[in-house]
Amino acid sequence: MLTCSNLSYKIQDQKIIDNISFNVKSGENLLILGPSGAGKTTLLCIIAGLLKPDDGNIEYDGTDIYKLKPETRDTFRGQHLGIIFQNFHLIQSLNLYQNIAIANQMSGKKIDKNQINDYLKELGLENKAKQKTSTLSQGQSQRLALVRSFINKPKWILCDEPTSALDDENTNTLLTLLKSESKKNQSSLIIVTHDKRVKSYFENNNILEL
Amino acid sequence: MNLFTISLNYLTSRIQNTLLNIIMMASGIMLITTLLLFGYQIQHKLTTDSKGIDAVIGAKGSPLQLVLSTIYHIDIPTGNIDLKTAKKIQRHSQIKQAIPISLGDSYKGYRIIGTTPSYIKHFNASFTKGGIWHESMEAVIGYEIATNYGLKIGDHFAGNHGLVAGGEIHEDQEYKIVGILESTKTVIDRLIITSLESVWDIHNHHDDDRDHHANDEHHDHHEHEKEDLEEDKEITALLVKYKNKMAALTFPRVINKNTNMQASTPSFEITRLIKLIGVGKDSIILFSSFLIILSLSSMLIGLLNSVHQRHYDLAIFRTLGASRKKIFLIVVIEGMIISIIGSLIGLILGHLAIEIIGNYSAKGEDLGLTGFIFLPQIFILWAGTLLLCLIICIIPAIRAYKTDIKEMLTR
Repeated sequence: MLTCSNLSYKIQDQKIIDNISFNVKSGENLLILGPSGAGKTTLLCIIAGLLKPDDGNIEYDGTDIYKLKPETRDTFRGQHLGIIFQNFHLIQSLNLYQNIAIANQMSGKKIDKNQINDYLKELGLENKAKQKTSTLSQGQSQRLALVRSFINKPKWILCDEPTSALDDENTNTLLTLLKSESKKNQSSLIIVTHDKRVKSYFENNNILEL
Repeated sequence: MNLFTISLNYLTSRIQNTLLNIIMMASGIMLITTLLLFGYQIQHKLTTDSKGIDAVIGAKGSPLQLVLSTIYHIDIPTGNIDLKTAKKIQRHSQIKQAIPISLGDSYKGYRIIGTTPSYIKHFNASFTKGGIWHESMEAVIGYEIATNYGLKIGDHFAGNHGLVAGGEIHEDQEYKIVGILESTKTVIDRLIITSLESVWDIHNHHDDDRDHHANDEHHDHHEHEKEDLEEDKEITALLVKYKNKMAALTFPRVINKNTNMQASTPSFEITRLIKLIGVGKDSIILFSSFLIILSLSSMLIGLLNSVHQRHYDLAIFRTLGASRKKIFLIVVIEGMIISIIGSLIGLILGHLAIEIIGNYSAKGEDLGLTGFIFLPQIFILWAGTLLLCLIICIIPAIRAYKTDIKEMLTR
């Protein structure tokens, strides 16, 4: 279970996050909805262990990540959290295979070649494994970025504005894919967004409005 | 895949910049390496070949030219000196040893030197085959000549007039090889040594032929002249070793003031020559250092740019679990790949350049230059450059280390 208690964060005396608390049970999803400037990305960074809150604490199954040493926290993030961004940024200097393998490498896990190849096969990209990411369409890039987030089988998937640049059809495809992948991996999905279209994919008791 | 692969992939993805940095680094290191190798070997060569020779006495002219032509055999002699006077010098109370040498001919660019067996003894050269000459037109050849031309005992060859290949060949008077010397790594390896008489005979005969063709009817008169020539024999120089240190102060002055000869001191001339070479060497080292600094600056700017352009990549690495230390290392590895490849290429090219000069240039061959020599100074240069690179890499690496992930993600 993810437990966030009394989170606060301020920038130059201005409170961006003010005493926010919520819980997410393992396997459940959460949508954090709020307008631009509401501190959504800041909150995501805090949850991901990338930005220490001024107050409050975050526990993943009883582990307070800000009590871990910085390096241990980084490893924890790599192994238990998958993070997806709005632009599905891929590393252009690496090929498709390496773009997935990097997630294994950076988290300190052994590179699972078979699993990577299986994923590439699933995406229909097994013949392009050694090619650079510039050869991919936007949809293929998105799916590859998703695979990169899921490759370590993280318990928690954190998404920052994943649909804001997508039309309705692509929003639907992406959210359906995200939900099915997280279900398959028994992961919890936490999405922060201002996009109200996403609301319909979550039950009311799993939505937190900022 | 590891951090090295990640860095290498990034460098190959911007291959033009990477190559430019590598080329600049390699050029600087190559120039300095070449100069250090060249300088060291020249100095070593100059010192080794002149070891045990306190002065050279020869015809007036440039003292440096006299030393270069008679000790190192890389210049034209200043002229000849009278044998009678030379013999007087040999008997002088301050002289321990005076080896006469007579130059004038060569074989395939290798100089033929008329002298006495003491010349061979001076270089501590021993025979690999055969022995010393006993008659005129018998010769002993240095190791390099024997090796390069496959010459052996009993072979005959004709020298050509002049000290470079291409002069008139003394076809009717061939030398016979009676001895081959072992390698000494000195100038004697590239010399053909014979008796003074051989040199005199070959040139008297040469002059005789010319006289014959010019004026056959004056045969009796010519015989008379030949006797006179015997008395007026000349040599090129005397390689002198003094009996005591005092002689070094007084003897050259006596020769230079009172005779039509000059006494040149090799140690002075070498120092002068090294100083002359040193000015050019310093300028090129300065230029090469500038090249290295330029390449390091270019690398610094390149890495700073790359960190700036890749902030998002680095942020992704962090979200995937990379520690700040890993991000720091990725940038340092990138810089070190460029500097290690560049400096290694520079080192190899520097050694290769000297090896090529040593093998394919006539002067380089004379100087016995080789690229297969490893100097501690060069290792220090290499290690120093890498250390400097490492220090320079730290600047962009710290910037990468401090990447603000939240700022990246909110962009």
